[in-house]
Amino acid sequence: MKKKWTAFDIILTLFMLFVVVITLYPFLNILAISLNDATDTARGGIHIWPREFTFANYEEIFGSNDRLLQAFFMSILRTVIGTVTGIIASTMLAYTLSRKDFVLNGFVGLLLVLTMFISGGLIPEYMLIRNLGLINDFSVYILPMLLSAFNVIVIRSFMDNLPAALEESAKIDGANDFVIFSRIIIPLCMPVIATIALFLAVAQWNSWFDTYLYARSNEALTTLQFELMKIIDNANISSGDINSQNAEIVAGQTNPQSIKMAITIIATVPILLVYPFLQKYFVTGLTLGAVKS
Amino acid sequence: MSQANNASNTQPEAATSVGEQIQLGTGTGLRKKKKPSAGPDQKSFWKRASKQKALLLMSIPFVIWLIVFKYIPIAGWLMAFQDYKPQFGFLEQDWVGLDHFKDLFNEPMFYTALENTLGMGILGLIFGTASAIVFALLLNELRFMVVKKWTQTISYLPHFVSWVIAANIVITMLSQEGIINNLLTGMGFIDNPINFMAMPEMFWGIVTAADVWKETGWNAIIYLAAMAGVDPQLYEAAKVDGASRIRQMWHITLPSIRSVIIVLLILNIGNLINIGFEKQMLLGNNIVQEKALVIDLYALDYGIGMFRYSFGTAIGIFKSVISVILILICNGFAKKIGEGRVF
Amino acid sequence: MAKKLSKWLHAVLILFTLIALAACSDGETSKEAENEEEGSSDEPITLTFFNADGGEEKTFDDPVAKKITEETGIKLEMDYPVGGNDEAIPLMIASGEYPDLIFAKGDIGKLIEAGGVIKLDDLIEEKGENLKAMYGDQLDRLRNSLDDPSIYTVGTYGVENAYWSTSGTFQIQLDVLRELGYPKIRTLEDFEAALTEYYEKYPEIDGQKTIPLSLLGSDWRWLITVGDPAGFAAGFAGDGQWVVDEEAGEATYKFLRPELKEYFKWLNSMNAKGLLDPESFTHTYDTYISKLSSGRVLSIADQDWNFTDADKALVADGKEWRTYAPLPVTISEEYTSKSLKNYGFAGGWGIAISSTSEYQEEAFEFLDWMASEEAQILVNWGIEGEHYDIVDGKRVMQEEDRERMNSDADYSKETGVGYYVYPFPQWGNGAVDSSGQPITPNSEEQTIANFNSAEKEALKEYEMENWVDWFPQTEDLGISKHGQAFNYSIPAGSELQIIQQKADDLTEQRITQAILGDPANFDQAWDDMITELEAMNIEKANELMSQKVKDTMELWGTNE
Repeated sequence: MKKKWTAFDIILTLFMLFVVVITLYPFLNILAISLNDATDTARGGIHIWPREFTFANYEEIFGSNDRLLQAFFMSILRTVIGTVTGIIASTMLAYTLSRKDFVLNGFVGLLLVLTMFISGGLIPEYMLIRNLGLINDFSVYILPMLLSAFNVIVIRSFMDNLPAALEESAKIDGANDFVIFSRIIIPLCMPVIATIALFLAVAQWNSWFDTYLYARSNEALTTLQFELMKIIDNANISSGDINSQNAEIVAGQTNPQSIKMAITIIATVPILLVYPFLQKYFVTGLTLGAVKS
Repeated sequence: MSQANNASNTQPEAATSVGEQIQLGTGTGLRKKKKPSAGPDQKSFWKRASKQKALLLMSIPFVIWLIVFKYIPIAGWLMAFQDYKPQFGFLEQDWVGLDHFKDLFNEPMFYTALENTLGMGILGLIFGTASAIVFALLLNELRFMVVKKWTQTISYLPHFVSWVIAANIVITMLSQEGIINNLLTGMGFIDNPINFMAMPEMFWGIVTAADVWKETGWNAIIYLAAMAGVDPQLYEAAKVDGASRIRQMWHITLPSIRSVIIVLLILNIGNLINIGFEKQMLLGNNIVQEKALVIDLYALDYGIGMFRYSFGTAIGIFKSVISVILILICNGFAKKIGEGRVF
Repeated sequence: MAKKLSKWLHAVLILFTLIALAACSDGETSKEAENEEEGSSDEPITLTFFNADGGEEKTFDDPVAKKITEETGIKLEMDYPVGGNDEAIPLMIASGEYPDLIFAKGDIGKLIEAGGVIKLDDLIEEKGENLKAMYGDQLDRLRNSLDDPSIYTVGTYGVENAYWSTSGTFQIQLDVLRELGYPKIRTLEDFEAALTEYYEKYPEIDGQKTIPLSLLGSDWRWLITVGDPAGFAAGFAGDGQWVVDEEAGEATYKFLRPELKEYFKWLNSMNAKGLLDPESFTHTYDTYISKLSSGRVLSIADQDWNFTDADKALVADGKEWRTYAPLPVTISEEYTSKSLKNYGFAGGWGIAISSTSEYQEEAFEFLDWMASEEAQILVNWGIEGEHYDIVDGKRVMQEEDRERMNSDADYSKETGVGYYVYPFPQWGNGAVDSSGQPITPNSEEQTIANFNSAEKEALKEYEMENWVDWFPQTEDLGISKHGQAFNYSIPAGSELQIIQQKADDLTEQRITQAILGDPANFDQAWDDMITELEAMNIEKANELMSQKVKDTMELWGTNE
């Protein structure tokens, strides 16, 4: 593998370092502000290093809410279960759609893709969830998010690219569709499954609105994002209020910037840790290398 | 590596597939297998269906799911033809016909919003797609593994930064005392700092650039995953032929991920009109508002925000219709030229 | 690897499912226990209370809350919208599931229409002694509308307010006043002259460029720092986007008025002269606050609650002279600042009792009790001996509590002192109890005591005790008969609301562009804007709003 470095490599590496700098900046900025004294932050001018270092912002967040730990576990639980069920559902459906001889191919494909562009709106969706009896039930985190048309289509287009010969030879051996799916297709699809797992996990982890709409009266179901959202957004001034005396009252509840940044860190760092574990599935040639040997 | 062993154990005939894959890599190899003839008559439909029990079993539960969770709520579209009041059921409302659509199409602001939405949507589509593909290609070429891994991990961080924070950073950088102006004056390109955020003609560009900065790393993940499926033998063969790295990218990597690119492109074209409003609202201000107003913000301010659920739904239906038309056209076109499909 | 991974996931899954089951069953048992508690008669009743203002995570167990439960047998379970969304009320209506008490703000009309809340008239008549005593002849201001003059809500704003502080039209740095020998600043001309003189003397402050006047017109605060001050400078009262002539019963959309044009023309000239921060309409709130905190902004046109962080930072840096004093500036001497105007009890918003509540009577008794003198002293001062003492027959906040009240944002949340005042029925800061003592701790003495050292010195130089002394006094301005126009609940989706929203969107853009434009083009730009407003049928909005004002005065019985 040891080859000479060309000018191309050097320029490329330098360019990538530049990308690292400009994409890392916002995060360092947030981290620095979250570790800076809240009053001092108002003076501005904090970039990547706190000026008056303190953990007070984090202490305040953890001190103000004793449900964070429980909410954290619920977030992990819904993320893990939601990701696993989502992967199973989307790969299965994608597989049937990748089979061009499948009788329902066109119909299901159209049915699926249209859902990306149509929505009934909040009230009908709420009424549906209510009528299904999912309110305040853990399944409300899993069932409505089970499938996303985008994910299914991405997986299917990956499956389309797989060598058809594999499937055919398996069929000759008398393998049925379940076997082909679980023994041949799934292992070959690991890169795309890793990608979709990431998408699903991030969507599950970041989701808080469903907790608010469907599960807020069941404390056991509260999630980290929802608890943090309650802290970050306890002051919402809508344009209807701005002239009134109550804008003053609401503005008084606004949390300092440093607290908001600390919340951002707490909310995102756990999910960021997922990616490095998935990275190994993105190595070129791994999949087909396996096929070859 | 244990995964590799597992995989190879279950696929004894794998060797034959590599040749197939090489053809695939060069372009349309995959598509040479013709679709079963387009219009199967009824008999053969049931015949085929009876042979595909496993496939049916694997898809019907999800079809039911789609109908329950995605299609039943579409009953809400009735609202657009009513004067909806939440205290009554969907069928107990006053019907107003197409009044809300007439209001919408008679509103000059709506056309401003439509123009801006499509303008920023198209720019976002072009630059968002191109930057993600180029970034993924370059990352794939990076030799220095440590840099590669870290670049990949770090570049997707901004995706997790909310637009509230990201917009703040962008505005600060572009302010008169911000880093961009400091650089430009420092290098002597300009004498006085430019107030970028006060220039309506710059706004679309700023939104697009901010979006590229924030989402490129994230969007590139799909393409990286697709590149992971390219057979290394293709590169080996190309090297023997003395092809340069750029040529390898162009002739091997890109064609191998072409179907993924096309599928994503089609889906994104369908979404041209669904660009949200957050970044435009947070980056916008009263000076550039005529270039910043987008449909989703208009729908929020003049629809739901005023409890005008019916009007908001009418806007939603309009958007859905546009999306569906776009995707049908693109999908049909892609099928016709034999370059991938969405359904 | 794939197999290993799935096995591992499987294990994790089972583990988490077990945890979840444990957690869920815990939740259920505790809920059941709660219900049982509610069954027996001496246990407190839990009322759910929805507060549309948003809020924070809070349980009803601070000392003041415990005292309230002890006195009334009521516990509150507080709920509020999260994440700045306005969907809660429509969803309540659609599902027909209402909390016991609802503070819906401007959306109350929807709840009334949907039959989600009950009329309180009879209850007030029968057993609303405390409410009757509190609202007195202002009770009519709680009524809904001419067509349906019932009372659905109580509370929100204080009855009998006094005006001990104001933000005025502009705020100017104390150092400018000191440096120029404490001049009288009464008109735009005086104001501009003072800024110009100081700016010429000190083009830089602490090594950074001086900014004579900065505004924050890049988001919703445009209305606070650009729209409102224009009206104040023209001597209009705080009616938001409206100017109300009570005599004629007429309301006019503010930006149609020539006085406003005059003010913005002045701002346009300030911009042309380089006295206005060129980033006034593009910088973010954080940047604005950091500019103020650096002490290099000589003046602003803001409300004090909007820049408390900057004020704190300046004082913390020992830059007291860089903090601000409110100015009673108007366009010229012939206009008077209405900053201290008394609008009377504003009515409009309030807390309602839902039609589905099991405890309507109890909820009403609770609201009535909150209006009692005993309750008002409790919620404003806390518990005697714990938060305040009686010294020489007067209530005095304990030193530690007073300190925390001013500096610790969590004080109110932890102790409950001051927490249950708004939006419940409340006395204003001008009200006194049966022994003649102020009911709220926010007395004028307290306001004066809280001034910083520079403010105190500047006030001494001006021979004043409080900044309000140089404003036209409340007594001289008369009491508003129509309340404040912006506080009316305009029916959602009505013609008036739509035209006003369009007009607001238009004026914010056009005025901003006109201010930043070439002074030679200002008149043209302004006239074009008026033409556009007329094309939007602004006349119709004027008519509708005028009717609203007339109806309100008739409903309130203030039209004679």
